[in-house]
Amino acid sequence: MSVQVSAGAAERGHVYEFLATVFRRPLDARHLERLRAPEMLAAMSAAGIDPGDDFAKGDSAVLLDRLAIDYTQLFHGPGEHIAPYEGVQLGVDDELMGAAADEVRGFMANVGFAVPSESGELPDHVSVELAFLGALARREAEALASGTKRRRASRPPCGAGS
Amino acid sequence: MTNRREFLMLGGAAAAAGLAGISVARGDELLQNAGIADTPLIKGNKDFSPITYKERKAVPSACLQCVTRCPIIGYVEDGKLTKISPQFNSIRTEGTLCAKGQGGVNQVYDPDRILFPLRRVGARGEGKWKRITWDEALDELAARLKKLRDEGTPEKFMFHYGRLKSSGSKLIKGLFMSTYGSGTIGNHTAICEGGKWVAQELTWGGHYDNWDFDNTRFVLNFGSNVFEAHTNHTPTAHRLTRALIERNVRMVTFDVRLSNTAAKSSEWVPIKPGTDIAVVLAMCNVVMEEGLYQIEGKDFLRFCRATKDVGATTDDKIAALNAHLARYTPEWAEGISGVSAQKIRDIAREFALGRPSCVISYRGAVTHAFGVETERAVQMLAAITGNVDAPGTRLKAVGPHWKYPKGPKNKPRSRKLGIVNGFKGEVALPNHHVSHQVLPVIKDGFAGRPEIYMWYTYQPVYSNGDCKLNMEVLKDENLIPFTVAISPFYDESSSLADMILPDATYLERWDWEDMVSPNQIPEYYLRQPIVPPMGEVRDFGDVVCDLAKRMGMPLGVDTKEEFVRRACEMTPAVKKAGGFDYMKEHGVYHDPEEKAAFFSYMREIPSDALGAEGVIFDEATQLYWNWKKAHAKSREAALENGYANTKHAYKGYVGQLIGAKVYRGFPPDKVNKTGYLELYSEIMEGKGFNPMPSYYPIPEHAAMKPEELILVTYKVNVQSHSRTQNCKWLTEIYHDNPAWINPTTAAERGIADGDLIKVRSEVGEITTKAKVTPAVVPGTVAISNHCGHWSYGRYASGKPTPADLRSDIPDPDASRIWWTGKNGVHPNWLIPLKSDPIGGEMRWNDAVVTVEKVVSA
Repeated sequence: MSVQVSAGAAERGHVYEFLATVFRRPLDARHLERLRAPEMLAAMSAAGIDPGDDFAKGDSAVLLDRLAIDYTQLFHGPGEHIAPYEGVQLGVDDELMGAAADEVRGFMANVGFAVPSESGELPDHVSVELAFLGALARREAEALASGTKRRRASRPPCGAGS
Repeated sequence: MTNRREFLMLGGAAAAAGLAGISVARGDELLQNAGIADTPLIKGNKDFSPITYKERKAVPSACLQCVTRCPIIGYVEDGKLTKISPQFNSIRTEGTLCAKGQGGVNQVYDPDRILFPLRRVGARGEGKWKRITWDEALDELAARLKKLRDEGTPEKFMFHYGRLKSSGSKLIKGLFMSTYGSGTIGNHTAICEGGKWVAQELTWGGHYDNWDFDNTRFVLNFGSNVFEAHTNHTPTAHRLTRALIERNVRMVTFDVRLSNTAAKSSEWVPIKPGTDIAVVLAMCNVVMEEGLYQIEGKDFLRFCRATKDVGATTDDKIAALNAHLARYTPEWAEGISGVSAQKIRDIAREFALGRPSCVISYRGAVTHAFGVETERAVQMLAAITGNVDAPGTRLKAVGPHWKYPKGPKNKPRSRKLGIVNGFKGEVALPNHHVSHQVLPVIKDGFAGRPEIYMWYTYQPVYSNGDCKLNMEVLKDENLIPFTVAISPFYDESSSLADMILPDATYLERWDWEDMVSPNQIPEYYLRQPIVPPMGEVRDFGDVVCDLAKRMGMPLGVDTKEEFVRRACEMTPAVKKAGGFDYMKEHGVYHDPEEKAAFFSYMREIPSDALGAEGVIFDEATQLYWNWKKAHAKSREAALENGYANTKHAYKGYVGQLIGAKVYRGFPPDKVNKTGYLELYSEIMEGKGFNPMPSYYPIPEHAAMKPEELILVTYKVNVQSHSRTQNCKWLTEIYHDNPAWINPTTAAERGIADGDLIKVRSEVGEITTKAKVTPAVVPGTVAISNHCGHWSYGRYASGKPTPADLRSDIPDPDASRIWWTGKNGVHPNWLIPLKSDPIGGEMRWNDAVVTVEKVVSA
């Protein structure tokens, strides 16, 4: 069991969690500040993500506004947009909380995760699914690092953070 | 306890017995003796997964797909609302629920609903938005509202609501708006049934009529599509069905169109649009002319006012009625309505002789110029035949009376802009406002303009006539600087907002409810969240509590749930039953000892009530009223000005002196009428109209050219006017609405069934298909409501889904919308914003149009 493999799983987890954060809702000032930290920018660059100079150096208020507008247009519309819910976007379901959401919820429950009911999050929201993948990757990394095939991992509720 | 094998065998035995000629009662007895009564079968209020057989969680709540607000049970499986069924313990619905109610599931899971607050960026209506947090939204809104209030102009905040009832109304419209200090509040009654209400206020006082189908022997219907779209739909419709099927009650329907109600009636009498009043007055003429009033009407006339003199004898009243009605002969009515004089006579006799009879009426008859007169005439027909407030007749409505927290004691005196009652001189008695004219009045500006215009569960663009004008006004930032939509959906109106606050659907929130009971016994019932609110949506009842705190004016309750809980504890009947906990568990409550309320007008007022502080006698009207409760300046001023001339004196009404006794009579509401059922109205006389119900021609119809037609609209059973088309189950059933046109009328224009036609009016034009059918009278074109949305999600509008826009992956979801491209047309583009000059009702069925063929089928 190599350290490198374990680090790979952890890195994947980081990418998933990073994407979960940016897709969950429009970024707020706190998130933006952390994402623009030099260390974070370097990490993004290493991962092949280039958010551009505007992101790195632009006026934060202007940037937050632009990002929020883009986010809204991208995920909420109106008009041409990407539904952030798997079932709706892929045309599997013609309603929220449809078969895809059920399937995701069931799959997550099977490995010990659940979306807190009070969060208002839907299980098949892209950010919830990414957070779930992130949590799995983190567990994988922990398992690889500890050398155990099976372990009782802590099971934080998915999507409850940030 | 019988086992299943025995049960089946007994069933076979009973069937054999039935074949052998044993009576049903005897068969029942045999089964009872055999133990069938012990079989543990449950009727309703439980549901099971058809896959796992696991029992679903049952949550008692209340529908709000339409104003009927039926008690329901929502069934939840794995946290998801899977099904809505009737509440079998409801005495209103008796375990029935319409398709709209069952389709409510789609409201919660509408894939296009708004789940987060949105703030406009770019030009209004451009469709560019920014998702914001609730804190951002409410901080901005509170700051704007606070500024107006601090500047002494709270009236520049206008709140305009569509569907707002019961606890929501008391908390939002009542508590929040009054604590804030703005009385600039618009409603939607004028586009609903305002004319009917005003007519009832002029005649028997408080509005709303209940129809006792359980006890009636004959139903006479003027323009009500009662089987499809009544304001108390299923509770009345299922009782009417029962009356027709089980008791062979006869029902005659006068309608322009062979509606499903007309089709299920014993007889459909086609009638020209807007002429019901002529037939009703002619029936009154027959009743008086042939002495049919003597059967029961004569006694009831004691409680009616039919002359200027309130002390007139019954003979005086009969003479006055005869004199007034003499001109309205059946022959005269035939010339106006197209209904034969003989038919009018026959049905008038049947109505008078077949009692108890129930005369019913709705928008088909009333939403015209002078529609108030139609309803007043209907009241007259009921009164002179004695078919009022008695079993089997037209009844005064009965509903529960909730008590609730009233909020801060020291509220400011509300200020308001005079923009809700139409243009000056437009409407004589805007008792329920003139909501369709709010935007035109804002455009005109004669009474000022709001700086913040907020609408709630309302579609100002789509739901009123002249959609183009509504859009222009709402879009103009110079006319209205800031607009806020409280809505779960992105529709034709919220797309013109500056801020959208996503509201909880009715299946995700709390309310106490209070709709009228068809059986005259009040039913208390509760709406509770069947599932938690989706996304970040919030019930606007909760939001106003939050908003008020941000403005430093707490309402005394923190949430709608608290408001509802406290109401349950404050309302004696509910508290006695077990309060909030009882209502949460059972959903509905009625007092089992309560008797059905009939003849409320005959209740005598005890002498101690007449001697109570503030009560005085008014010589002119012969009634007792409490000047203090009416907020008159002083006893002296009240006596000097008299009841009729004191503003809001009706609020202090106590009782009417009739003969030697004082009766409750027909208590006034909104206007200072007497305690009689007023067939003679001094209020109408004071406004320049005939004091007795009278015929006035509809001006546009009188001036029609031969090529012109009258446009009428109607509703169908699976849709509400404008708030259910996003429900896929319902819109799959009803999504297209070709224009009905009579074969004769069509032939004159060279139109064949299925042809594409253009319908034009003075304000707009639409293109649709012709449905050539004898089920509509000649000279008319009928187009239903509900359709032709150009926003409001994929199902209502037919607009592409997000997945539709991808070409690489097939979209099974979109393929299920097989009616894409067939979303019908919206007739409101054609209907000018015109009001009944008496009551202000929007004249939905008066528009004059031309119809021409565009393309052959």
